Amino acid sequence: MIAIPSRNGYCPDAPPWRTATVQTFFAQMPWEGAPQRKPLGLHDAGSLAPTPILQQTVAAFFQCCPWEGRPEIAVPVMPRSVQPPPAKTAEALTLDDFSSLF
Amino acid sequence: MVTTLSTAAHQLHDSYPRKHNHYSFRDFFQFNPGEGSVTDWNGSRNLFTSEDFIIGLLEGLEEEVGKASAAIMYSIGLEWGRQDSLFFQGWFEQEFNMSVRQANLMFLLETWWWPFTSQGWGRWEVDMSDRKQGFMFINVFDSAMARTLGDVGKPVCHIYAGLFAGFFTEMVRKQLSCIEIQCYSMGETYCKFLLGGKERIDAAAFWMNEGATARDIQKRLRSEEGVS
Repeated sequence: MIAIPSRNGYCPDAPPWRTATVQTFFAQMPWEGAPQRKPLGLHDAGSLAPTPILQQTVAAFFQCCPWEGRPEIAVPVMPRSVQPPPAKTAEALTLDDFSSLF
Repeated sequence: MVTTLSTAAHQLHDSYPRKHNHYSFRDFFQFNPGEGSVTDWNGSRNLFTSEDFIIGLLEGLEEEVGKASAAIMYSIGLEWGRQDSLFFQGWFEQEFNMSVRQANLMFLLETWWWPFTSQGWGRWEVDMSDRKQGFMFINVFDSAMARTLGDVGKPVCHIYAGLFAGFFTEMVRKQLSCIEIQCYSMGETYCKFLLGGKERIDAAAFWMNEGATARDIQKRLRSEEGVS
C-alpha cells in the first residue's frame, strides 16, 4: 500500500498574498515609499487577512483616520434648500402689518 | 360702567404718569365725592350701573324698536369704538411715548382692552391665527351684557361687536365689520366675535340665520380660504 502524504501540496499556513490577484497584490505595494493608509478593517498588507480594529496597533489604527478631514470617498454636497423668509408671528406684528392683512 | 370725558384730573396719574400697572380698582378709579363723580386713570368720567340698568336698557329698546334693537346697540358700539380709538391713541402715546403705529400689535391691543377689564366689561382673548386670511376672532369672557341677561338663547353682545368694528376700523383704516357668532347667552361658556370685511361678516350672519354654529362658521371660513 502506498502511503499518501496528508498534505499533498496543501499548505494551510500559506500566506494569503500567494492567492491574491495581481491587481490586489501590486495595489498594496508601497510604491512611493510611504506606508499606505488602510481603511479600518481591511486586509493587512502583509497577510491580506482582515485585522480586527481592536487588534490593530496604535500606529495602524491612527493611520486610518482621515486627519486632514478629507474623506476617502467624496461626500456629495447636499444642495441648500432655499427657505422663504419666516412670516412674522402674531407677537411680532405692528399695526401697519396688521392693516395690510385686511 | 359707562364712560365720558371728565374735567377732573386723576391725581395718582398726575403723580405717576409713567406707572403702567394701574388697573387695580384703587389705582384705576378716582372717586370725587365733592362732585359726585368717578374719574378713571385716563381722565374719563365713569358711571357705575347695576345689572338692572343693562336689562332696562336692552329690554326697553327691544320694546320700542323690536328686532332693530340689535342694530341700534351695534351702531352705538360702532361709534363708541371709533371715538375710543382716537382717545386711546392719545393716552397710549402719552403713556408710552410711542406712536401706536410703532408699537407691537399684541401689546397695543392688550393695552387698549385693560381699561375695559377694569371697568367690568370682561376679559378678552384675540385669536390671530387666521389673520392672513383677512379675518380674526375675539373671545370675550364674562361679558357684562351676557352675564346680566343669562341664557336667553341668542347673542346679546351687539354693543361689543360694534365696539370692535369701530375700534378696528379706525386703527386699521379699513371698513371692518364684526358679528358675535357665539354667546354666553346661548348657553356657551364664552362669547366669540368674528371681525373682518363686510362681505365676510354678512356671509357669517346669513349662515347663523340658517342655523350654523360658531364651529360651523369657523370651519366654513377656513375651508373656503383653502379652496380659493
